[in-house]
Amino acid sequence: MREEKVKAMGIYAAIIGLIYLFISIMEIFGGIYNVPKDIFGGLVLLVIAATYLTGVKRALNGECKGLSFLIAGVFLSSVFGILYILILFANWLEYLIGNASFSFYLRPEIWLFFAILPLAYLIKKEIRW
Amino acid sequence: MTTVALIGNPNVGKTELFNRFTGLKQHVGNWPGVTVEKKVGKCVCKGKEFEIIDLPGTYSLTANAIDELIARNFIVEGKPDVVVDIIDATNLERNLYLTLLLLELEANVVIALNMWDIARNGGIEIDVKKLEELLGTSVIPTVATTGEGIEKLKDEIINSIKKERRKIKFGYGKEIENKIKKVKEIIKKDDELAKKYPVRWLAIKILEGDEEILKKLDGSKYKNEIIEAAKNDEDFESVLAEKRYDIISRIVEEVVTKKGKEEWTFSDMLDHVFLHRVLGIPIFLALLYAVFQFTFSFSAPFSDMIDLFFGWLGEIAKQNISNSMLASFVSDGVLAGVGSVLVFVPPIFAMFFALALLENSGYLARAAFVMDRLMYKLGLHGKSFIPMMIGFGCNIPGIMAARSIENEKDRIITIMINPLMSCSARLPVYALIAGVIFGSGYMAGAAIFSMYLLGIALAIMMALIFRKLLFKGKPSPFVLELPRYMFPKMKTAMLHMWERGKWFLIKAGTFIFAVVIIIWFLSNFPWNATNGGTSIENSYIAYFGHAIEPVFKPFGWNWQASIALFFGFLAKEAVVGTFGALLGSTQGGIMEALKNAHWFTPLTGFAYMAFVLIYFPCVATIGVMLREMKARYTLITVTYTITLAFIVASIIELIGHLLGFS
Amino acid sequence: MIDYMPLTFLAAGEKGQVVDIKGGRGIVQRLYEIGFVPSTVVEVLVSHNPGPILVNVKGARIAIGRGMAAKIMVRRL
Repeated sequence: MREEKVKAMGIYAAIIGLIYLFISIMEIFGGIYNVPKDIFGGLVLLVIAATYLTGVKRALNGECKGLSFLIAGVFLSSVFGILYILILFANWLEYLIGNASFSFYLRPEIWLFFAILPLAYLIKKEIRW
Repeated sequence: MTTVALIGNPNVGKTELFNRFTGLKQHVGNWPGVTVEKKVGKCVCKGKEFEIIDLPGTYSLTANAIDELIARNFIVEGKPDVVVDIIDATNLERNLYLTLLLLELEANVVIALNMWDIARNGGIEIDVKKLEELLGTSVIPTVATTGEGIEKLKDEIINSIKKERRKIKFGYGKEIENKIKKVKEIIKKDDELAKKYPVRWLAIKILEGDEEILKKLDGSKYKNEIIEAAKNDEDFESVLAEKRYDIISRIVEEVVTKKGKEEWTFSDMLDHVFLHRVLGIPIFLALLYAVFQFTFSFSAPFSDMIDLFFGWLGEIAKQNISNSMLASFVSDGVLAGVGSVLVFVPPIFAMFFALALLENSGYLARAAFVMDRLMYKLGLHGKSFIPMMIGFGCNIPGIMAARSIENEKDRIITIMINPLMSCSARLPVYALIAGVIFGSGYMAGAAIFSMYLLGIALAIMMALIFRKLLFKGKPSPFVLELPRYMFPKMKTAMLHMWERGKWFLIKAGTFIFAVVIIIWFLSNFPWNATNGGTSIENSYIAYFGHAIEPVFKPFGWNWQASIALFFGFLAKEAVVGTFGALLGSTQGGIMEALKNAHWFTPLTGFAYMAFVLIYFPCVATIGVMLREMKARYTLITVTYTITLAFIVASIIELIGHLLGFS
Repeated sequence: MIDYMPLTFLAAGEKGQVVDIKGGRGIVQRLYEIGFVPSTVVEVLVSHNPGPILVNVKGARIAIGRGMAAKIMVRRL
């Protein structure tokens, strides 16, 4: 695999990791802008941020091992992105049967999931299993 | 009917292949005398009906592990027409070990060379023709996950029944062969033995000192002579294992060509992170959180729909049935009772689905690896972890999953603490009472979560106590193969979910239904005295309730709550069913009704939740326990859970009072 | 000079060749079945002390407890 590509992915992961870290802090302490207070959810984001950031240094050195953290990060981002999309759908159903009000609020986990899709595509192209 | 047995190492795709063959036409039972799951299915192809038997996944066929013994006995004594040996094409070297043992057993073997696609994409080339020639059996490349090669495999199964198999003997070298020959000669003298078992295999097993086989010699008058001839001071089992691997490495050398250099595989990469020294446990906890979120948040609207539906049906029944007794029976008894239990089908299925995804993707084994260090400190086994996880779904499969633990002491401890895992049948009780005493906000969720934590904490405590008192010593060593990571297949996960979750549906339809009818009868009769069920204080159930009430009075639970505990012995979700039947069908569902009845304060309600968690493994769980381990240990489990429930509930109320709660 | 050592002495990424297995018949048999036969080359994938170690043996990833791994004698390659 070309080293430059790994490095480019490393930069991408660094940015994503920092965003996760930032939002994680917002969720843990809550109430900043429209991010809800969700301690457990915030801790999960912290874990995801740590996963990306652990891989950054090695990826920037062009090491293959660094890539494994990015793969795991993409996996975790997807799990939580899809989870919250499903829950959003569930809330909408709840609204349809008249049990709760509904606002189309996209949790940060959801748009972060879309943000990592390009990275997922790059990795999929590079790795064969 | 033709019987076909499926056998293979763990993680070779045996379950997928079995599902390919049988679809939903399968039946899960147990092997006689043991609780190892026995899956049997039917499959019709080319107008012929096959019975497919899924043997336990094993590496070998010794008598050391119960799974292996079952597989072996089935092949020797059940004499299946065809044995399909499923092997992982990416890893012939390991998988052929079992194949050699099967051939030694002179079974009619057809080999399914599974995961052919992964091997092909990974640059592994296998000369199938050559492999067939060397082993003397047919070899069919398959991909169980997509169905590739399955039709060909079916054809070959049919062919192999008619075809006389070419027997190939794998020599173990002159010295060993001489010994085998010597024992063989004597066995041949005993017609009965020689007819019943493959002679060469029997000789080898006797030389290996296999205890199960030595027992089989008992009736033979040549027993002493055979044992005399087989006497040796070598460790035959080890020597033979080594020889077999020699043979295998020669076969592999001839058959397999690997292209390209070895590079880091996808699984290597994921393991590097998921088993990471620091990140491993946090990632595991994060995924666990995802499972719980999925179970509770995603399933909520579906539960509400069921709730609304039953409420609506109850209203209709009340309005349209003129006979007041019948109307009460249908709406307050059947619909309110069964409905209050069925509401929990969505979260239960959701949990089983999520657990199936974790299991099928290969992650659950990693969780056991990550947790082993912790578990070991607690006097448990790394493998105890998987039964505990599954126990969150239902204690029954959890207890059955404990059979993968070879060491009996470790296995019994794992089983004995499993009832403390909050199974999904307890969830209805938690959800109802937490909702009643804490509303629908953050506190209710925290209260439910605290029950799961309490269960785990108590399980750890009990494990330590058992290790100290009953089973002294250290947990046995941990050996576990970590499967390759796979993208979980929707269909497999659904099937898994259905297989485990349908228990709950069946229970709701039979057991709970019966309980609900009994409760309705007891709470509405004598009909005149209760004024058609309106003044429940005069009913039979009130007598019983008041009779056992004194026991629970100190906790502040009324007679209704007490009698619900009594029915909860049968199944924990019956507690909710009892509440449903006692409160009758009302607008706004059971939660509103219970809230308005003011049976629980936050403190007594919380203690009640803890009591329901601990007080008794349900009847079905006890049944499984009795089959899994000696009755003595089941008795100990029942005793300790009841005792512990009283102690914990008392402590909760005591501390609560001191903190000023009421 | 003794040139072999317990498997636990290898760090992640190192390879070793199995020389011998010390221990009772049960353990030896179990380890043989999963592929730890003499002259097999194994690779340690993960090893954090304390905690089990992950070894690649004949193409499969086997997790074994540290105590058991200490009974497997290997020659470092």
